[in-house]
Amino acid sequence: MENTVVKIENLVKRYKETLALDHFNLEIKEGEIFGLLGPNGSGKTTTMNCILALLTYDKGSVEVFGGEMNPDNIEAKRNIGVVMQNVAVYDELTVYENIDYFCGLYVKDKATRKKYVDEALDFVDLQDFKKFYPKKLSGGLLRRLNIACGIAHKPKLIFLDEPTVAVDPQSRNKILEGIVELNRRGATIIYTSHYMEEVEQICTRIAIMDKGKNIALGTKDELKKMIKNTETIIIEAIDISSEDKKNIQALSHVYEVHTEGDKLTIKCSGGKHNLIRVLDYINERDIPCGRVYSELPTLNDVFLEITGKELRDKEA
Amino acid sequence: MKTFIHNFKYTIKIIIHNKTQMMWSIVFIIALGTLFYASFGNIYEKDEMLHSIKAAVVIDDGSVKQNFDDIVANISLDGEESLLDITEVSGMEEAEELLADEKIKGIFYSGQGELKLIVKEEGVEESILTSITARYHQAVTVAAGLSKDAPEKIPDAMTMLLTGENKNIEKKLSDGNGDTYIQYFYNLIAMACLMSVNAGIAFAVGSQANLSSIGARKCISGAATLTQTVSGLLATVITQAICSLLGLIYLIIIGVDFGNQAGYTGLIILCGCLTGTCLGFFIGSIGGLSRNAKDVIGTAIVVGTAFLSGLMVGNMRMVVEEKCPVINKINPTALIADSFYSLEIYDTYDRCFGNLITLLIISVLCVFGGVLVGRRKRYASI
Ligand SMILES: Nc1ncnc2c1ncn2[C@@H]1O[C@H](COP(=O)(O)OP(=O)(O)OP(=O)(O)O)[C@@H](O)[C@H]1O
Ligand SMILES: [Mg+2]
Repeated sequence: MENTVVKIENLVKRYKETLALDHFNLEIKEGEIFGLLGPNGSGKTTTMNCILALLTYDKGSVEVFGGEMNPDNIEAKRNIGVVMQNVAVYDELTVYENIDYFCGLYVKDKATRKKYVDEALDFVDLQDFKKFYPKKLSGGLLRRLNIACGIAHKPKLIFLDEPTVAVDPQSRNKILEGIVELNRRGATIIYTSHYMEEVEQICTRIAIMDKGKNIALGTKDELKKMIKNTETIIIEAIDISSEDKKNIQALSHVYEVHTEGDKLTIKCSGGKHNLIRVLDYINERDIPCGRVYSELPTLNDVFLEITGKELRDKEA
Repeated sequence: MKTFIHNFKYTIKIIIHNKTQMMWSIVFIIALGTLFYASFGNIYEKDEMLHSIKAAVVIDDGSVKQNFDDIVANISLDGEESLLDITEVSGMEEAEELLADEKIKGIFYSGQGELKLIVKEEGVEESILTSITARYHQAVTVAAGLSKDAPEKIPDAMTMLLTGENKNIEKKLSDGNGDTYIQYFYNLIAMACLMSVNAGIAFAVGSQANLSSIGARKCISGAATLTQTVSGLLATVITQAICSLLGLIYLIIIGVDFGNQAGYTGLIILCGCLTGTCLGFFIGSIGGLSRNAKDVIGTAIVVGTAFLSGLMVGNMRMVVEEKCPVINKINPTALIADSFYSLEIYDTYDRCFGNLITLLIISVLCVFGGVLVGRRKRYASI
């Protein structure tokens, strides 16, 4: 069960001037849904292409299914499925034909292939569009076709590079469920995204990368424990004096207080009743306020704290 | 093998669905073909008359003369007019002058017990002079053989050899006389074949990871690169050949005479499309060139070779033959056009096959080159 499926050691990849991967290490076990999280340009796609032996690299080693990965390792390639970041389908073929074509590069038997293609169509919910040409599909449907082309042959190891970009929420959920289902049937998944919610929702283990380095690794709970912040209390529509602010700062477990207009943000580290203590103080002084709520840390906080920047630009 | 067929089938599907590219090669032949036909049509018919060929005979050695006179006397058109119209000359110098001025088509030179033919250009008439010379040599050999064993049979044998089989020559004269004009059509089909360069480029770009995402998807798939390349190229060649063939059929329907050797004509087209596709595959495989640049190079090759072969200016190939004959030996369009021509003109297939072999060599070199350039299976950058 605990077989290592992908093992990357000390990988260095340089594109002329740019250092895309900087002594990158990674180990992925069989049966995981592994999330690779990082901002634009952090090297996620580069990592994938190195694992797939599409790219040369300057240093390091890549092993897949326990053997060294190289372009001639057909045996390994047969068991890998890739959903690429760029849509890669033939405009000249219909939805069905596209899936059938790419599936046919792996699966020789016609009857089996037909079954697989049908299942892939169900998976991405494109049965109604199977006679359509890609030009006639909307952006989201095209993405879904791209996914189907990558996974139809039922690979044991699946790479998904930001598969849900431009896909609407219902379909996105369906795809995420599908990925979990693929995993339940035995596929190991490597999932790249900068949507933390998705990664939190499905991934069993997560690596955060930035500037070609693996800067944090673990389950989402482990990652959250790595940072100081355990709770963030937000009080809206509050009118607070700087003296009160200082007093709140002095409460135990509180390590940071700041205001943004009439919104007060209090960051706490440890402690079990932080919210009650803050509310007690406000009640005592009779400070008027609006909505009050407390948030547990998100991966974004983890990322923010480790790298000092947002994982992703605010929703476009 | 199943993967081979699968890839082959889908490559054809992809090409056929890409209508713009398909239409181009066919529409092109139809448009230009009709245009040519409209402008040459009249001349073409007028020229279909038999007439005798002007030649000069220069004698240095009388022993040859007797036999040769027999030949000249015996070769006639429809048994009436003599096929050869011998111009009296005083010597080699005058004959060469006449040849240079195109007053005569060839000089028979007899000396040192041998008969030689000197011609200036290549064409139907020259090829007939060549076959007359060949017939003479044949007659001499037979006579020499018989003189030892059965001298009494010589006269009969000679008559047979010298007068027999004029039909072939007559057909050539009547058919091939529009050769200046038919050359345009040969060149047209040759250019159509070579237009498969574009399909070759598209195929190469679509198969390499650093050139397209689809290429990347193919590279990481579980199918061997060699299988994918060979089946894809084959599919491309065949679809392109069918396109050119459709164009050819159109030309035949409107009345252009491509002779009656359908099998060989098809073979030439197939070889032509093979060369075009492979050339395109090579160009397409070169890394570091944008797709646009490749398409421009491809089109430049198609148009350039067609120009040198004489599609735009009729006697271009003759000019090239004089100035730099090597170009005609390797210019694929010229080779294809010349194959059609030689098929029609010569009794043997030697020259036609020679051209086809050159085309095959070019194709093989291009595929090798393409594979070599694109062989780097890992890329520095995608
Ligand atoms: N072909 C290339 N040539 C030069 N530099 C490249 C190339 N591809 C990527 N890079 C650089 O390498 C770095 C890593 O890029 P990569 O595509 O791996 O990032 P990513 O994490 O996938 O980003 P995104 O979230 O935008 O997909 C970036 O700085 C990028 O500019
Ligand atoms: Mg990427």
